[in-house]
Amino acid sequence: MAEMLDRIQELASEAEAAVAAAPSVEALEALQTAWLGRSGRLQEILRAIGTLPPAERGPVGRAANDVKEAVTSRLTARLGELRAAAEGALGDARWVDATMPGVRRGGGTLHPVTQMRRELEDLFLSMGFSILDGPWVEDDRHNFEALNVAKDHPARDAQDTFWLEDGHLLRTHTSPVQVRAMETRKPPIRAVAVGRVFRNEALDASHENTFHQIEGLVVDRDVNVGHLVHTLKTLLSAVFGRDVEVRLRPSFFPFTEPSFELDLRCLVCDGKGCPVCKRSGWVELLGCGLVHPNVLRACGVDPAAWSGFAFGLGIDRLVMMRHGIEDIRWLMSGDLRFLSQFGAGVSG
Amino acid sequence: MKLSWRWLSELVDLAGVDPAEAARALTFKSAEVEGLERLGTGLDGVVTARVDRVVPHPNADRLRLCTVSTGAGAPVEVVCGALNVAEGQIVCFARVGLTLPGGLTLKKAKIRGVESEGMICAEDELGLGTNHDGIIVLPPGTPVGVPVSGPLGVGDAVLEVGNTAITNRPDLWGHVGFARELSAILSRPLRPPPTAKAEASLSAARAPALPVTIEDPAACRRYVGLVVEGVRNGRTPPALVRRLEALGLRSVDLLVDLTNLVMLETGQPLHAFDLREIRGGAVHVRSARPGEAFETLDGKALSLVSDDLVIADAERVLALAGVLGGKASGVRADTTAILVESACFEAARTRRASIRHGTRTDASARFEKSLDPAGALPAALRYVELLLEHVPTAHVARAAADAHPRPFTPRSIDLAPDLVSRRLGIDVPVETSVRHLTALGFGVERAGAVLRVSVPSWRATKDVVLPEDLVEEVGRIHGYEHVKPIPLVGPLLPARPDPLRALERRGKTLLSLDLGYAEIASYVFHGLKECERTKIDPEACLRLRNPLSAEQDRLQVTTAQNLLRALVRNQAGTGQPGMGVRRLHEWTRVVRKADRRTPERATEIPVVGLGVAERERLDDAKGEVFLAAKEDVLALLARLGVTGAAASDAGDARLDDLGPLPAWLHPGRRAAVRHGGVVLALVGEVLPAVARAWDLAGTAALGEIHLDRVLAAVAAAPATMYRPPPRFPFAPFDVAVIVDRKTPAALVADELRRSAPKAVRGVTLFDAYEGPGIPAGQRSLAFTVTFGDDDATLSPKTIEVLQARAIDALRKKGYTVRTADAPKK
Repeated sequence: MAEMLDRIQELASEAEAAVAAAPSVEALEALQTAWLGRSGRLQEILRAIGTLPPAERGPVGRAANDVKEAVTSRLTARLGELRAAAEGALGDARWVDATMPGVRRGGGTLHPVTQMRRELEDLFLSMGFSILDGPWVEDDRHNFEALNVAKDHPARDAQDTFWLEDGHLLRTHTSPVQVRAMETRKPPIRAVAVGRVFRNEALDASHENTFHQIEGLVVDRDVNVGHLVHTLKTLLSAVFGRDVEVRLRPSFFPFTEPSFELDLRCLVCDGKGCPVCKRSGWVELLGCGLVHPNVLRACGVDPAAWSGFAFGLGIDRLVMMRHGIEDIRWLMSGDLRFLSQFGAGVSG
Repeated sequence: MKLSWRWLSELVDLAGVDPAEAARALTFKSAEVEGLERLGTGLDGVVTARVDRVVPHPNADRLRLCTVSTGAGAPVEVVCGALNVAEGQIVCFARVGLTLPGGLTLKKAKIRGVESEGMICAEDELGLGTNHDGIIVLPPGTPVGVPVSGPLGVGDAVLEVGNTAITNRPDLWGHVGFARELSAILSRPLRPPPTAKAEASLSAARAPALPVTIEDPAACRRYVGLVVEGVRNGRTPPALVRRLEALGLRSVDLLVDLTNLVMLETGQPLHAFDLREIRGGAVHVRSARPGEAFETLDGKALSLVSDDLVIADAERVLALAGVLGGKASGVRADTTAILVESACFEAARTRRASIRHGTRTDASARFEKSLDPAGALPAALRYVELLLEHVPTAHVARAAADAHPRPFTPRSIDLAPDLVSRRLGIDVPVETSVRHLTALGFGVERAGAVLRVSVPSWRATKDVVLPEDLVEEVGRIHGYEHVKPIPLVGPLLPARPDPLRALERRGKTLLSLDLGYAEIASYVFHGLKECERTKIDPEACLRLRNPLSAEQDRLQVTTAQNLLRALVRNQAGTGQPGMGVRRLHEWTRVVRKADRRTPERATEIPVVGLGVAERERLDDAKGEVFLAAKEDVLALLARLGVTGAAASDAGDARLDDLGPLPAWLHPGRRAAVRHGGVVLALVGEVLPAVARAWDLAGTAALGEIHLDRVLAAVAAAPATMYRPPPRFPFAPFDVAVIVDRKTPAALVADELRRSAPKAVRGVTLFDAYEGPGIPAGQRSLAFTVTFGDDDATLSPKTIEVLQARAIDALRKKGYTVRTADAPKK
């Protein structure tokens, strides 16, 4: 038994020396396993106790447990010291240059038109509008005739059309989507049609043959011009992130009656006059009006019971205004030097 | 269209009104005035003068020395370069010291050794136009020494109205119409242009009217012809020339200029025929005979079609109705008798003819707006009235020919008095509506609960038909500034979802924000050249009838050419950092021609195209560009809600109605992505020959996903059903096999899965190797197979059985099993 107790004492001093000499957290953790683990050296002693005569088991067991506790507490204390020291030294020992590039995923960009579309769609969704789109390849009826633009109507001049060999056309505006909406739904209708449109126009800094429109349609009981103005003010205030001032001027579109141009008080000069607004203080922004009764009728909606408003504006134009883009052709360029400037916007 | 302020002032009392103020009023109440130009300003000090003597300049062949007198002070010497200067002329003279409208200040200077005391002016020098062909010559008898603005008819302002704003307003294509608008807006009296002398002349005419026949009353609602004799043609007085030119027309001669002046005044186009050229004593308004020849007054030879409406005599075509006259029948210098035509031709037919023959004229632009037939006779009389002012010998020689098969029938509209307020959203008293409508020429009477509004003839051809049209009339004159914003109210209903839009939104976010793709937008059209480069069958593309160019003459059937175009545009050489990595995506539609599946019309298929060209991080030898694109296609499909899509070699793909495999696909690096047996996407490397044709450096891979199919797959997907997470540990097992090099790894993985469908919880490829140690034409594939059981920890015995079964399954397929181990911990 004495031999056993001596052995325990020996182990105790050996352990203490080892703990004191351990240079690092890792070394201590290794010691912990080697001494206190399931097959550690103290565990061996404890297992050997079973082979002793019953009378000796008590004293030897106690001595072994005392040593185990003592080693454990020394080790824990030392571990604490070393960890504190290591953490104190982290700033130097594990220093990394924060200006070095990390591993990057992503870095892609959403097209600025997509970003603007998302903002507009979110806004209208929040106001209870459905978002619609329709075919790009349209027929004459939906693009023109149902919109009160008969064949040989001079208003067709304003919308130079791409005609296809099969007699169809590329839609010149998103208005055919309105027609389809009214054909397939019953009022009340609150919808915006968003999408690409095509005009057979020579390209220059302000003319594209491919661009994007958002067109709104509301059909309900007693919809009036005041509703139209409120909706458009809300839309433009959201797009430009501030309260905007608008005004209406009479205009003509075959599919609305009365028809208006809506002007926005110039955001660059606050209406004082600058090159952007051609010194007028106002920027012509969009066309709108109350839905023409003939259009309602052509779509199966009774104009005696329902009225509506419609508006349409160029998304590209809004994008250009927001980002100060002076040439619309950049939008279709596919040029990464242009596209990469826009990131994900706020709409991701 | 341009409007002369002076002219408007003759037609409506505008005393004390500034042109800018009127322009603004018109913009807000009638039609947008896009420009306001003040003419002839800064002419103070320029006076009329007589050229007393013209002698050659002693030192210059092309210059003359003129003696000019203004009546005040001694005559002065002026050097003049104009060829048309002659003794006796009355000219515009600017003395030394004066500043001209262009900003030029005349200084006393020697020109080729001779001192000049001033300048005899041309149009451009007075800011009246761009003409510098010669000096302005005023009519003989013009007083000398007076400011030039009077005789020149300047000091005017020109308002330019946007044509699209008056497309629907036939009445606004002349000054009278705008005068009427200003009269209503400003509450000023109208002054209709006089025709009294012409009427007197007409009523004195005793001879019967020239016979006129109209073949189709729908094509010509009215034809008025006045025969005027005692006519003398000649130059038009400068003041009228100036007026024409200020409004954008050129002076021809007096008889023609007066037709144009009446058109500008009333909006009604006129034509003057030389009476000698009308053979057979009658005029016929008829359809042209197919192939009938006609030479226009500007010398173009046209071959007519039966839809063309013509004015003809017994022998030939005299004019293309409503578009332009003929060379043979026009007035000439020696014309002494004319037929003045004032007609009302059908809008659509005139428009078609003018488009067909490429001759848009001021007349056709007006006729196509649907003119007022009631305006025809007054306009013809107005011509005679003006003619009488300049040619006193002129007189109407025969009764008026007036074929009027479709006379104007007055229309009235019943307007519920509250409709104006209900549509505008503001309170407009009934009296206000009545006042505005009356001022615009509408007749208003109360008929019970409604207002019975009669529409004046000049608004009745198409513009004002419905009560809503009257709402606009009242609203604009009342002023839209009164409209206040009113929030919409109504039931709160959920917006109808649009699944395709939702897909697009999720997919774009994934690609752009997570996977590093840049979104591009491209044209949907391209041409033969790009088809050839990309090996696209050009005949598969729907053609445009009127393309902008041969490079954009057909619609896309794939996104490949768009992605290649953008990849090339962005390749090295731009100096932009990061250009070595190019990942692009585009969401668009491809168009498939009508075929037996959709015989009615072409089909639009929503697609997303992916393009990857990345040379910095990817190993081309291992096909990593292709695999990266494939992996992104799979990631995208998963993000779109397609679970369990799998890629395999597209070579044996049954593409069902996707059509033949694209020819740009690399035969060894291509995949079809299927879900439930349907191909959703194709992805692959670009064939080197195609890359070369595009000048594309390095390796690129393209993918195209058909979103209509994705939508169908997502719609069919059942909701995810919960399965309890495993409670018992899994038992992994590694196995490597040697297979033919083109045996797909996925096929081997399937065998492993099938060896114990219930127990195999996962099969992962962790290595693929060919090279030394592996027989040629074969490769080694190493998988980790994971076994599990929901109800118990697998016993060593069971694991052994499962492993043996897996190995057995591989051997049965003829694969050589290299190693099989429980993986190292």
